[in-house]
Amino acid sequence: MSRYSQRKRRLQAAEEAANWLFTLQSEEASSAERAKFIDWLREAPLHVAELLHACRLQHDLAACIKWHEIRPHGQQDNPVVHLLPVVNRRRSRTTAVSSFLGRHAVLVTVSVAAIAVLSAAVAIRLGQTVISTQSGERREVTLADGSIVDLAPNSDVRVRLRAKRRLVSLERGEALFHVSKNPRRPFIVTAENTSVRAVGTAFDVARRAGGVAVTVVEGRVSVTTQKSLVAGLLVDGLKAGQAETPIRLSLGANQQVVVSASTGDATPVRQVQGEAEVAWATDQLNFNNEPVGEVASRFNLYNHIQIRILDPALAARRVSGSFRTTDPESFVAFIKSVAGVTIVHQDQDVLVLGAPPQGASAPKGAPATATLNR
Amino acid sequence: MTGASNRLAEWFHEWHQPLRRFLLRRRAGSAADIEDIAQEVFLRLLRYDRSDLIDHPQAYLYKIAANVSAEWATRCSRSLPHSAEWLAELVDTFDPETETGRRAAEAELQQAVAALPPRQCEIVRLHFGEGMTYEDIAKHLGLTRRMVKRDLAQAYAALRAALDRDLSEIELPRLSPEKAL
Repeated sequence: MSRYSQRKRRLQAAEEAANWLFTLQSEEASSAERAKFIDWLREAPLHVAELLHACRLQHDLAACIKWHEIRPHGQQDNPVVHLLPVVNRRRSRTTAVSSFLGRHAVLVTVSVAAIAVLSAAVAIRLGQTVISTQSGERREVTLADGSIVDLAPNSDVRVRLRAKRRLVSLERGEALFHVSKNPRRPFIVTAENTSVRAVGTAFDVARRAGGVAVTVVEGRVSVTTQKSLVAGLLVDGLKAGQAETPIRLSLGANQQVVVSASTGDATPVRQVQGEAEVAWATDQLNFNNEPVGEVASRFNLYNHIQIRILDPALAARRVSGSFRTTDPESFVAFIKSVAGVTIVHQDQDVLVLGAPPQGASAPKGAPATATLNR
Repeated sequence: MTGASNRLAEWFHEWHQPLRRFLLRRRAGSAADIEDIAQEVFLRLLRYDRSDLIDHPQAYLYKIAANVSAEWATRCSRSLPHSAEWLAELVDTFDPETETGRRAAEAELQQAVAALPPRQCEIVRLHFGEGMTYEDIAKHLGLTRRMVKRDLAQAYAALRAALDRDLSEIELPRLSPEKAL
């Protein structure tokens, strides 16, 4: 028997074993069925082995999976497998709509996957895939090599999977990469003047006002930065033939570096909480002693409900806390409780926060802290 | 886990825990060892009377596997130079190396579940994550109970394939993406 047909037979047995397991467990098995089961089991050691595997799998599925982290990617054989339709994550206002979505979630997912395949089709013709998000939208995409890209709102990436290397260009915004391991096919992310090279790891690249921030969550990456184009030309002019050596550094888990977009200089490597830095990818926003105005603008990025703050003193006030990106209301409630602010105006999509009412004294002193209740 | 009388899974869990730790420590292909155990269970199954087995399939399987696993553990401890250490670890609840292996295995499973076709993934989630019965899932998704069961069995096979290096190479002939377009 060829290796191929052996494997095929095994997979067949795996499915049969699962079916027997379900039948026996549901206690609906008639005597005739039990006889069939025993005969099946005594047919081949392969069947016993697959029954064991099915039991083990069942145990692991019941015990080990973090279900809240599971988002179906769909089939792995499409170049871009599944785009998570996280467009507008705010809660539906009408229950009819949400229950419809609940009942038809699978359908919606399937049709979104179909759209993803179609859009991937266009991209393949061009030899690349472009993935974009808008404000209030977050997306998770599985690439053909099994790597996963989590895209923050207002971000664009361009993906080219070549035989020798996997190239991703972050054109805008921020993305978290879970790279599937393949030492022979390095995964290279470029953003402005910085390129990050990995073989199998998880890291985040963000284009920010101060430059390109690279944060490693897991494993190790190598970061290369180039002097800006202008600086490079000047150097070339001054020292003809002498190429500027790029800065190259190695980053491990929980390390972060920011590369200046204008000079190409890198800040000293900083120890960070990698998981916390990329908490946005799991719908969580963490703030450590940050101004309320800054916090509000982060929430605004992820939601259609926009928070506006009128009182400059309130906007400057520093807070720490951990919130769900999808739950700006809890942040507003928190601010109200610690700073005694008033909601000046509220309509469907805008919440305006003002100064505390006259006479009410807002507690002062140590920065307020909230913790996320899950 | 749904259903309290999940004896078969319990049975497996009971004897498999120590075995798995052992396998993780060795970092060898655990598939080969399960094959050996399966072989042993199979041979004993043949020794029993068919009608007895049919009357109480689960009880017999439980008994046979418990015996095999006990013998297996003894054999393993004899064949290892540091048998005492290994036995001590069975009692030990935390061992970094095992912990790492376990985490890696969990992450792998997690990834494999997420990579299932959307409907299968949803059914697996509803069953294990939400504890829904096949009937509930069928009603919830507008499918028949049979379809749910079939999807679940196919999901098991797909997960088996994804988690086993020997099996993951299997690719049913498919059009390449370029041809499919």
